[in-house]
Amino acid sequence: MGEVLVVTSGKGGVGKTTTVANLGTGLAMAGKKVVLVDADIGLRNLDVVMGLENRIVFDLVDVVENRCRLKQALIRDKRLEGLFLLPASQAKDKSAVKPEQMEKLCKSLSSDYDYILVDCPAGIEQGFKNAIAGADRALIVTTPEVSAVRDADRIIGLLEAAELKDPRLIVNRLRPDMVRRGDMMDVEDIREILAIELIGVVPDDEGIIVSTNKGEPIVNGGSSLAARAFLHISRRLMGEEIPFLNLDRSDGFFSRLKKIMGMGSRD
Amino acid sequence: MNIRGFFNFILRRKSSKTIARERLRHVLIQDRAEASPHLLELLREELHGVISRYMVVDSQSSRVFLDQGEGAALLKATFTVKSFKRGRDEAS
Ligand SMILES: Nc1ncnc2c1ncn2[C@@H]1O[C@H](COP(=O)(O)OP(=O)(O)OP(=O)(O)O)[C@@H](O)[C@H]1O
Ligand SMILES: [Mg+2]
Repeated sequence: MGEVLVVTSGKGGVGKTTTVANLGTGLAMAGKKVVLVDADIGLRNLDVVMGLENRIVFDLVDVVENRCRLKQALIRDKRLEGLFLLPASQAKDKSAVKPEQMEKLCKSLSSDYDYILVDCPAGIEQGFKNAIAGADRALIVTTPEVSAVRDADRIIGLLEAAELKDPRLIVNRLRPDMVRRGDMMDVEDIREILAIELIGVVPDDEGIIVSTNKGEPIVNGGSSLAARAFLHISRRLMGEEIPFLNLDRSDGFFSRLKKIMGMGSRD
Repeated sequence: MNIRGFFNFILRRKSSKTIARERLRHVLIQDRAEASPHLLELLREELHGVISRYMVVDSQSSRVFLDQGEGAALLKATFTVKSFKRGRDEAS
């Protein structure tokens, strides 16, 4: 039986789709059978981030409305054997799918795949309810900003109400230089305020935009910190214990002093 | 802490990081209270029970709510006291 993971955030544009693409790719690179489900119906994105937009024939709504078989709608990744995408429908809207249908879909996928990653739309309405309906676990993406963390808190409350226990936190787009200057909340602040367990921190990285331009997830051959951060998260998902990266490359006077005094910050 | 952080510290000036953290903490108190009003109701009932051990209060008019204080949320409770129980005078 595979595991169904929903990637959600509340606030839009914080990096859910980027996270799904990279974690799915990372898991498939480790030899797992993975399917990415784009539950953002009406605003299809995961296909272009994966570079698979030209191969779509059927979509999620076709599957739940029995216009095609599930296998016919799954698109095989360009590079990785065990990686598949179930694209969202672009023409329909979020009410085209019901939570029971998503649950059934995730169940049937979990008999053939090790990981089912569901890309959740922003917001807390129907699309969110659909996306979490079949999930076993949730990953919450936030950025180090007041509005994003606030929305993450709301999502944690809603997940609890839906009996999805123990969500894990991903802090995306961290700028270590800004944290150092005192102009960005650090990971420990966010983790403490939300009171949930951290599974990874991804730095803000131009390389993500470049890789999205090309339709190739950054973990696919990148050695950047962002690529390594996503790879580490995918390994943590598989149960490995991996220490957190030190994203702060600076070795300024104060950080050296802090290291000497054993006050180095963990990120 | 870097040079700027050091000067902020000396001048007791808040960094935008500290401001963000304080605002976030504050807004989440309001949000969570709003998202689960039954918690404040539960607290009101329990407080009523505790207070009733010391005095007779009116449960109809009692209120427990969050209010904006200066830079902090304040928990406020009002109970109308109908009578105070007679305690034994403390021996002096
Ligand atoms: N770590 C990062 N560094 C730099 N850019 C990033 C990072 N993560 C995401 N981005 C960029 O931020 C934008 C939004 O990312 P993405 O589409 O993954 O967010 P989303 O949460 O799925 O958005 P939506 O809520 O609209 O579905 C994209 O342009 C993406 O390339
Ligand atoms: Mg998205």
